[in-house]
Amino acid sequence: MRLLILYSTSTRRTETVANRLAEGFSTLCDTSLSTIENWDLDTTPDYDLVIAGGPTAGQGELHLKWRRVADEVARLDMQGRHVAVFALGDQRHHGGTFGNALWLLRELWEQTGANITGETSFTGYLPQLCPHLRDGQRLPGLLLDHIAQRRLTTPRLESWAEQLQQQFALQTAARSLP
Amino acid sequence: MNSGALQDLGFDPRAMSGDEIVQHLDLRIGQVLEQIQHSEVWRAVTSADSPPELSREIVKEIYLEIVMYQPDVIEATIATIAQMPRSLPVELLDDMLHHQIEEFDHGEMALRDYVAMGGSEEYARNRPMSPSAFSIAAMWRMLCHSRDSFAYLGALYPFEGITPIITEKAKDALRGKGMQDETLSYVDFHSTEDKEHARMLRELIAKVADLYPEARERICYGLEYFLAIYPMPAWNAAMQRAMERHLKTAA
Repeated sequence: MRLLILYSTSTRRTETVANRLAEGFSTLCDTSLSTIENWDLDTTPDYDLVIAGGPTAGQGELHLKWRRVADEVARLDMQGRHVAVFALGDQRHHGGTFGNALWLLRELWEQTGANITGETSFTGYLPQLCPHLRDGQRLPGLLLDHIAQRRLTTPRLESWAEQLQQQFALQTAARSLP
Repeated sequence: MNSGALQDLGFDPRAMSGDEIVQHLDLRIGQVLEQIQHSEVWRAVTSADSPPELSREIVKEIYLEIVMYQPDVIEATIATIAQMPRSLPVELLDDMLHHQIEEFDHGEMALRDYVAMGGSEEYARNRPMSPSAFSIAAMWRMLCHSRDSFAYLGALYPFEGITPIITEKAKDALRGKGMQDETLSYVDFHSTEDKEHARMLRELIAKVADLYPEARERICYGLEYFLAIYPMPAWNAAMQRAMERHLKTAA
């Protein structure tokens, strides 16, 4: 199996998460890691699973590096491939748009015909700060708050990696995330 | 009767609510936006009639201004926030500091765009600060030096109130003048990010002004202190340098 992790970042928080995913999965399968702006998108369908991530920007938009390539991504043919999305957000300071990038990334990759995988649930977050989300609702991917819930980043990341590992029958435990 | 405020501001902010203070700031920003859009620098950057190479040079020089003043602004602002009254609710302190965290490296963002436009990183980092950038840095340092902590909230308003509107209006024109994505990160980023920052800042100002009546005048003064030196003096300085280079190249 070939895995590609694509991400955008400004503050390097998303980069930290992407690096940790890459280090963990590289012991399990052929893993490539790149920022979205430095990636040759035409090669993306060569991968069985794409993990795509980025921060939630501004008032709930995709990060500008994703916005710039959105049209190109939407034109990819990813039929028969899998895509899992992750996003970072900030419940404390931007609760009204927390995690919007997760839905926007899913919508973007759905246009490629890929199977979207890696759902989680909005459990253990701070729903009182996020009026648009309700406790327990399904999330289209991994949502991290590396500001208000920094200590939960590692367990959330490990749990999600293990979920993907089991789904794709990868051999070594994904708990080897650094 | 506060005769100083009446003379300098034209009104006495002490009786105003937090929301009224914010409305006043928005009104002033609207006036400044009008001035900007009637300015020579705006015409030179966005008009289809102005030479694209001149437009690009002006934007490049504006980036350089940001590179020069931004680290001092951040450093002084964080120190000024640290001077807030100890009775300040901690969640407001958190919001203030968090905002600065989100702005922390934006001088570096401007530098990357400046370099992508052909500018020298070594030159940008080591040249003497321009008088216009120095005055901006000095104003923020002075807020800290004089322990005028509430004034920082008003002074911040031109950054957050003007930038998203101006960058949104300018970005298509700049692409039309041949500017590539890698030279427009600062513009693209702030056209969306600062809308959210302006929202956060409005909430913060209204809360602080309601909690601390003495803050109202200082917030209004902070806005005027900064508007005396930003944005037009900095942008005019950028245009002056760009024009000189443009004329030399054309000669």
